[in-house]
Amino acid sequence: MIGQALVPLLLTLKVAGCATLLTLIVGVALAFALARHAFPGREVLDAVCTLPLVMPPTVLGYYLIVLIGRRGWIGGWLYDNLGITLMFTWQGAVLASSVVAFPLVFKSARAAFEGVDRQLEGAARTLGASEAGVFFRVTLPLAWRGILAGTMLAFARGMGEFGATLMVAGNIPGKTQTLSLAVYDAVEAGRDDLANFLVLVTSIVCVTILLASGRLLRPRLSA
Amino acid sequence: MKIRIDIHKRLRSEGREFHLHAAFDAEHDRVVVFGPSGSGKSVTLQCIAGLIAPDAGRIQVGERVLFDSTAKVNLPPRARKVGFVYQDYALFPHLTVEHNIGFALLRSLHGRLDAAARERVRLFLGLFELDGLARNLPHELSGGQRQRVALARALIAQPDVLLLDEPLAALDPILRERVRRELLGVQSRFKVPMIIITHDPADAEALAENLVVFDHGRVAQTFNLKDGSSAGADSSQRERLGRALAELYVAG
Repeated sequence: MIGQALVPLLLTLKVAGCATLLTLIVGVALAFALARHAFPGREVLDAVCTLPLVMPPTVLGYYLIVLIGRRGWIGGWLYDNLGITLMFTWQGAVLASSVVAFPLVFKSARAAFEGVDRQLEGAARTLGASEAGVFFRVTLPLAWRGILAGTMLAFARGMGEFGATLMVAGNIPGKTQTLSLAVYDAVEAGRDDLANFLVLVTSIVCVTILLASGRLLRPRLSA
Repeated sequence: MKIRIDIHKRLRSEGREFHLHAAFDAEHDRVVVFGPSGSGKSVTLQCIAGLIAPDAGRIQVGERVLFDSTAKVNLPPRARKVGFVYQDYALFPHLTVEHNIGFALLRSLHGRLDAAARERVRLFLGLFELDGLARNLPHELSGGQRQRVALARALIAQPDVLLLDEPLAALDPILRERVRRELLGVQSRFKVPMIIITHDPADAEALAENLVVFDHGRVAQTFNLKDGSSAGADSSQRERLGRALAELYVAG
């Protein structure tokens, strides 16, 4: 039974880990751009970036199929020119998890960046820091707690992803079957013992992550 | 050091538009910019530091042109050699006193201060009576200590001019007198020209060599107090200053 849990657990960690890395890079970059630069359509872009939080995962999965399916806008090009497709692969699962978890990183990163006192960035500039210096020596060190907390939530959300992953990557044991899909299969097959075990593993990992991110989000004793 | 400023800036806040036109020359090393709050003093200082871009005009410090809208010159803050001390000091809360003061000496994106930089920081810790506080964080310091860290941090970068935004406003009367003396001491030690913002006429009288009086986004009057007092003969200027200050006492 442990072996039956280990394969989906490792796959889940791999998918959630890659998805978290992807959302972290894209989410932090976009959040910084939106927090520091006013441009027309900024709040519209913010809303689009937040949309996956409120949309049903199946709808997101459908959008992704439209984009990366073999006849999709991006997927069609990939298949015709490079002969690859993301459909029914673990990389497709990464993409699905990324989209679903993206708002968690993006929202917390934007709030964290907006919470950094602009005067501190100005002070760094007058002290000779380049824009990269301002970002890496002042802005990021002051915002990282919020970003990290959002990232851990994104990881937990990625671990539990079901709907969008199912539509994009399917439910192939050993290939794209993550924990939440394995739980579904076990229940469908009447294997309550396996389901119990899988649920327990998932719960322990998620609770651990939530506790850790809660600690990070708690304000420090003094500024 | 000669400082020449002539800038225009339109600002919008709370639906009201504010037009700042700051134009003044100053040839002495202690320039006090004086005026009621909301008269555009702080924005002018931020324009000199390059933190806000004026809409038009020219800023010259010594021989260096920092901003010139017709010649399309707009140096970034890091290239201006202008030190800036914020009213609430803006110390980096995540860095120790040592790393706050040494901030300008570290050129890489991360890493530690080298031995020479640490030695220089140690020198500044001594000069500003901060010995023993190198490893403390800003929130562990008193207000006076924070201000001295901010001064040391700005001066270690060897700026051509030091801008101080209301350095005396948050202080009680006794500390105020002490900080005035400290600022005079810093000036004579570092020979750095200063532009100091205040809305207290007593600060202006104690510190100013050049006095620039702001009102409603304009320079209402300027005074050359250094030459005036040394000559001792310019009684009309003294009288004019007295009247201007009295007026602002009443208005403030």
